[in-house]
Order: sequence, then C-alpha cells, then structure tokens
Amino acid sequence: MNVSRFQIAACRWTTILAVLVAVVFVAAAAAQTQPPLAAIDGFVPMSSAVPREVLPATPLVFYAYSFVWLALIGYVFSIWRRMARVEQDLADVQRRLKDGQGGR
Amino acid sequence: MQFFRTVLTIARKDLVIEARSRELAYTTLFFAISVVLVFSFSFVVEGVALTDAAAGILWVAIAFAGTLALGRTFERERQGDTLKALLLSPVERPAIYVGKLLGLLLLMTAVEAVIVPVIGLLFQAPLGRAPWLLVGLLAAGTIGFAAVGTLFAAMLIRAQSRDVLLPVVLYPITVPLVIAGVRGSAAIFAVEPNLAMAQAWLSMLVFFDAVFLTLALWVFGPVMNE
Amino acid sequence: MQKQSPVVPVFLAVAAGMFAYAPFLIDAAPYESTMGLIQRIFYYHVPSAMVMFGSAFVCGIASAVYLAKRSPQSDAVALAAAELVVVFGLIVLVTGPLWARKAWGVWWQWDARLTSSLVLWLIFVSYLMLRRFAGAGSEMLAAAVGVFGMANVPCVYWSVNVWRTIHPNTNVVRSLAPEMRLPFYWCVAAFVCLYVGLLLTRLRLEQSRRGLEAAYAEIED
Repeated sequence: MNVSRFQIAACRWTTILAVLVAVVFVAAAAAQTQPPLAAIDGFVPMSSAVPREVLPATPLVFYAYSFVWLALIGYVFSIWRRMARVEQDLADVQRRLKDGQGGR
Repeated sequence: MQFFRTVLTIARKDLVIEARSRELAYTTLFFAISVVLVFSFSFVVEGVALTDAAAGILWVAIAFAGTLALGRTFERERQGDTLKALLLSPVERPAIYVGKLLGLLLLMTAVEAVIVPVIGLLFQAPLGRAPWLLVGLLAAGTIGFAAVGTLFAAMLIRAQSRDVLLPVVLYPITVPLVIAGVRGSAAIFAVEPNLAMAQAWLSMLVFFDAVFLTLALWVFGPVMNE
Repeated sequence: MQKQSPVVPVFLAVAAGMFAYAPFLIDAAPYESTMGLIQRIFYYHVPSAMVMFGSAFVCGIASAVYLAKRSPQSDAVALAAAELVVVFGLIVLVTGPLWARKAWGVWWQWDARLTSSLVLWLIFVSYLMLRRFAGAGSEMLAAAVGVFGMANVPCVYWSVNVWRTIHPNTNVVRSLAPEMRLPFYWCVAAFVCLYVGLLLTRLRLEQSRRGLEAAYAEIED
C-alpha cells in the first residue's frame, strides 16, 4: 500500500491543527470561568440554611474542564505519535523493499 | 437428544478424571478456606466481625476459588490438547461449552457445600433463616460466574499471559453478579433480615444468568473456530 | 491507494468550532439553584458519558460483526471504539468526583450508577489489555469481551432508575430548564462531532498499521 507523502503530511497537519485549536480553548474556557469568581467568593451570603463545609467550587470546575482538555489533547497526541512511528517504519520498509528489488 | 448426550459425556469425563485424582477438589477447597481465613482477619475487629462481612467473604471466596478451578480445568485440557480433539469431533460447539460448564458447576457446588457451613460457623451467620433463598442465590451466582468463566477460560487457552489475563477479563464482567450475590446474602444474614430485598437480588441474578448464558452460547462457537 | 477524504478534518474542525463557542453558551446559562457554579461540570460530564455509552455500543456491534464475519474492518472499528470508551470514560470518572466533592461532600460513593460506570470502564480497559498482551488471535478474544461490554451498558443506564441512589436519575435531561437546554445540547453535539472525528482518525492509524504489517510480510518473502 502506497501512502503518498502529501497524504502523510495532510494527516499530520490536521492533527497539529486540532491540537492547537484545542489549546486555544483551554485558555478560553479558563478565561470564561474567571469572572464568576468575584460573584461567588465575594460577599454574597450563603442562601442555604444548613451550614456545611464551604468548598470553593471554582478550582474544581477549572480542574474538571482542564482535565477534559488534557485527556483529549493527550489522546490526539498519542495517535499522532503512533502515526509518526508507523509512517517512519513504513518508509523504512519501502526503502528496504526497493533496495531489495534494485539489488536483484 | 444428541446435545444432552454430548453434554453428559463431557461432564462425566471431567468428573471421572477428577474422581481419580481429586486434585482440583482438594486444592480448590483448601484455597477457598484459606481465602476465608485471610479475609476474616482483615474484617474482624476485637473478635467481632463487621456487619455484612460474612456475605462479602463468602462471595469473594467463591470468586477466587472459581477462578482457580477454571484455570486448572482448562490447563488440563491444554496439556493433553484434548480441547482441540473435542472441537474436531462432530458435536455441536454449544454442547462442548455446556458440558465443560456442568463439570465446573459440580466442582464449585462441592466447594460451596463446605465453605458455606464454615462461614456459618465462623461468623454465626444464620444459614437456616431462609435456606432455599440462600441456595437460590448461590446457585444463580455460581451459574453466572461459571458461564462467563468457562467461555473466557476456553478462549484464553492458547493465548499468552493466560494466567493473569483470565482474572483481568473475568472480574469486571462478573462484578454485577458478585454485587447481587453479596447484597442478597447480606439481606438474609442481617440482624433485621429483608427477605423481599433478597428475592429482588435473586431475580436480578437470574436475569444476568440468562443474558450471560445466551451471549456465551452464541459467542463460543465463532471464538473457538480459531 | 486511498484518497485522504476531507471528512476527518471537517469533523475535527466542526468539533473545535463548537467547543470554542461552548464556554460562552455555558456562561449564559442560569446557575442551578442548589449547586451553583459546580453544576457547570454537567455540560461536559453528561455528554462525555453519552459518548462513552455510544462508543461501547459501537464496539459491541463491531465485535459482533467481527465474530460473525471476521472482517478486519470491523475489528479496527471495535479497537478504535474501545480506546475511545476508555478515554471518554476516564473523563467521566474524573469530572464526576470533582463535581461530587462539592455537591455531595465525598469524592466517591458506591452507588449504582458510579459502580456500574466504573465496571463498564474496567471491562473496556481489560479489552485493551487483551489486545495488547494475549498474543496471536487476541482479536477474537477481545471481540467476545466487547460483546459482553455492550451488554453491560443498559445495566449502567437503568441502574439509577431501579435503585434509589444519590446520583441524579435519567429524568434530569428530560426536565432541563429551557435556558439550560441549548448549552447542553450544543455540548452533546460538540462531543459527538469530536467522537466521530477521533474515531475516524484512530481508524486511519489502524489502516496505516495494517499496511505496515502487510509491507513487513512482503519483505519476509
């Protein structure tokens, strides 16, 4: 099976683009969760009558969203790395095949 | 008819081999008792067992002993290459599966017949409170566990790392069975027993058994065609 | 020789675009009355869970097809879908406890939905282990596990309706406030696009890998 270099490059650029776009969104999502910080952790009194452990929610939300992005980016990156290795091996094998045919 | 005859032949073959050496029966039983003891030490505080410990330990012992028995049964088949011979013979694949399943069930029943009284003794578990319900739970749970286990143990017979892969693959799938068995048994053994809840868990176990048996019977043929 | 179709980049680009807009929509949605800010995790947690279950079905069906027909294409789909179950399942199992810590006060509860989700995740982790460590013929064995994994999904879904449990039941989505519906369904669509894009990308990797193995076989001759 012959995979042209253009196709390999196109696939690689697609994954790079996806990763870059995703990184932009981590920043956007982080920026979005900042403004409510003032509203929640400010001087607004707790509306619930039952006193319970007051945990700031913002870090948890931030960690949750960040983890989602990290996991997805990590997976895309792992596919990219495996793809690069396979392409390298494939180019290697094709070179050896060609040499073998040339030598005969 | 041919189906049942095949099933009985295969089960009888396993029983005869086992009766001659009694290797599996003794080792599995001893292993199950060791598991019960080891877990007892973990869950006994100042001489008194934690609530529901008896039910939990019972089912853990069944699961571990069952895995061991599965491994050994099919190791025997692998060493003699007899499974290949069985598959080559002109019998239906499902019959082979059910035959092996029956053999394993008999072995596990024998082990449970000893373990359950031992647990009743060690934890003062009220075995006589709802004996048929308890037997039903044990039977349904064991059938489900054995159904999935026989399939996977037979599948893994020619795989690498089969010893460690069998538990890795078997336990996640049989966790619902163990949960239902434990909760059902705990409902019977509890200080205030809830027999209706135990019956609900039993019906869930029966449902799981039906699903697992159907899937296993369907999957066994294609998988063993390798 | 296959043409690299533009389908994959399109899906990924659409998903990326939807994810870009999502934070704005989520921010515009009203806060939930008892949980406040932490409920925002819902917009990522539930769509991830939906994608996880969907992927488990894809894997199960592909595995069943592989068992019946032995086609390498269905095996590749099953493997890709199983990997995605593990990835999205990990997202569900991490965002869930982060939400639970604030909403319920504990990181984890052994209730029906959490336990059965964890079990489903473990089944597909064992699928990947089988593919990796069982040696030759592992595709068939893993396909059997995939079929059992798919059978487990309805148990996970219905568990919250059958047992009284601390986890919100399946009526939550149906009874969402109108202002919350748009961001939620937007995120569902974004996750589904992302899932399809990732699945196709993974399939492409699998195709290349099989091409490599064919080339190795050729070189052996």
